[in-house]
Amino acid sequence: MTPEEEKIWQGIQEKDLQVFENYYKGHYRFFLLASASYLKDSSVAQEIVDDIFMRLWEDAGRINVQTSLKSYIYRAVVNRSLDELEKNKRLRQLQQDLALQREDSAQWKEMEDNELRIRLYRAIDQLPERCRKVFTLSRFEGLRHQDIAHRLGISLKTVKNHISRALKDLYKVIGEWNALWLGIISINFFLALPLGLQVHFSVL
Amino acid sequence: MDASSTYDDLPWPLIVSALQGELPAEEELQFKEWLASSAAHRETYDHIQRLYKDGLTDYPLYSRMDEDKAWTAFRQKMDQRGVISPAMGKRHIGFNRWAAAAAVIVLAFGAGWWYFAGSRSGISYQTAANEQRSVALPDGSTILLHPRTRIEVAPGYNSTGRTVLLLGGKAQFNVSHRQDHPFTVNMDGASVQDIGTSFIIEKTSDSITVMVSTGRIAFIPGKTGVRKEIAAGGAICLYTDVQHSGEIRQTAPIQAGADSLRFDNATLSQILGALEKHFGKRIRLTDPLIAQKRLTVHLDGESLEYALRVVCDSYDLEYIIKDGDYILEKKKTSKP
Repeated sequence: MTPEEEKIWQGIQEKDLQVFENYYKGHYRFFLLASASYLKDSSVAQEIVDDIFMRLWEDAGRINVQTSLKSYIYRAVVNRSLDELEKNKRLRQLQQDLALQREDSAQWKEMEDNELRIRLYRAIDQLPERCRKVFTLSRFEGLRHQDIAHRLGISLKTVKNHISRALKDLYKVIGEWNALWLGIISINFFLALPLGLQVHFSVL
Repeated sequence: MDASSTYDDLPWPLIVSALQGELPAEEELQFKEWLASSAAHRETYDHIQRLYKDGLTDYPLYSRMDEDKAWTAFRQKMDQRGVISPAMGKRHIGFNRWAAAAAVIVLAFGAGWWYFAGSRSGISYQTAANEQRSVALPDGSTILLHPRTRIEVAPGYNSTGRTVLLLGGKAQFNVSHRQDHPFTVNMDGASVQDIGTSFIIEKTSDSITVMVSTGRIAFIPGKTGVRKEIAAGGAICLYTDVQHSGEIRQTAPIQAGADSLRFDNATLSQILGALEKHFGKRIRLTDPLIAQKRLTVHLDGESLEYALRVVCDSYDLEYIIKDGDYILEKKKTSKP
């Protein structure tokens, strides 16, 4: 555990509600996204994250966190998400596939991938408003460039400029992420999303 | 080749059209030539394509997430389960004659806790989309957090030092100056030190912009450590990727003027009136009863649509556009 995490964990064990609130809010998106990527159901994922945090609060005095607090909670969230899948017989096969996948992929790797996704999404949020609007209309609502131009009353060229700017920023995030973790060129990493979807990026 | 030129040298308009399958014939030829000219180009396009198509799948879910709402709901669950004892600081106090006295005690205790415990561990504050929040610090300084902003007040604030970490977003600092403990805002790549002042900092993924409203600040890029003093009305931008800072620009001092869209505890009718004047559009409220509700919000530089969304979100309203007029009415259905 880092000194910062130790301080937080100590605060939670001492029932410091403000410390707990800060930690919950600071990591909520990370854990919810992790669970939802398995379950494809944000409301169930929300229940799971809340259950884990409730247990953390109630049993903090008895829980022995060995490595890192974030890693401990992440493992609990993923295990509970897999248990939830098991409950649903229609998804049993999927659960088996995921279990196989997890044997091959280390937990830290999944956490890094989840962190990278958070950074990409945060980068989308930080785009200028109009740029974000154009990009989300294109990527998430599937509108054609011409339709976006018509809807927003801007030129086709402006639409392309906005999407170019957005993509460039996102591509930079990938480059910074690789540089942060690896620091050397020509090292690849895999963003192994659940459901067998693998995205492969290379360092710039 | 440095990283920025790697990004800038790519033919983004062609890539964007190709991703969407909207390449006109003449551009298609150019794009194919670019792909064919190097294996690195093909690899780069492959990565961008995967990023665009597969790497962003959960963003719609992410954009709907709201930490504050989630925490509020979670707190209710904690209350229902009875896992918070009164000693842990349950906030709901009955409205009875003891309330005033209790409030005084809580305030006194809170002030003491803030002063002493504030030095024990850092405290984080953040705002969601469309949320603004004012944070009062124990030395009388205040920080106005704009939407999607995250700060951390460092351990030992006001006892061993006065340091705030700006992790992202935009914040306005009104600092009460103390010679013995300079107020410092640290960011990845730079720090800002006040010399008795108020200022705004905006931190994006690749830049830090500082605008000084009153007084003076010292701007110190992390890489060079070269200190630049900026007086009221000045602004500077540091491009953190390349650690290049531009020249200090002189802008008009930032203060509430006749055409300012900064509102402190203003009525809704005042806010809408100012927006009408600023954007030259008519804005109407269907429910006149809420016209006197008050709001603190800073909308300088925002579009009319964004400004109206902020106002609507504050009062559970929505707006429609009819015959060019903007009409604010009660939300028909609440979003899940």
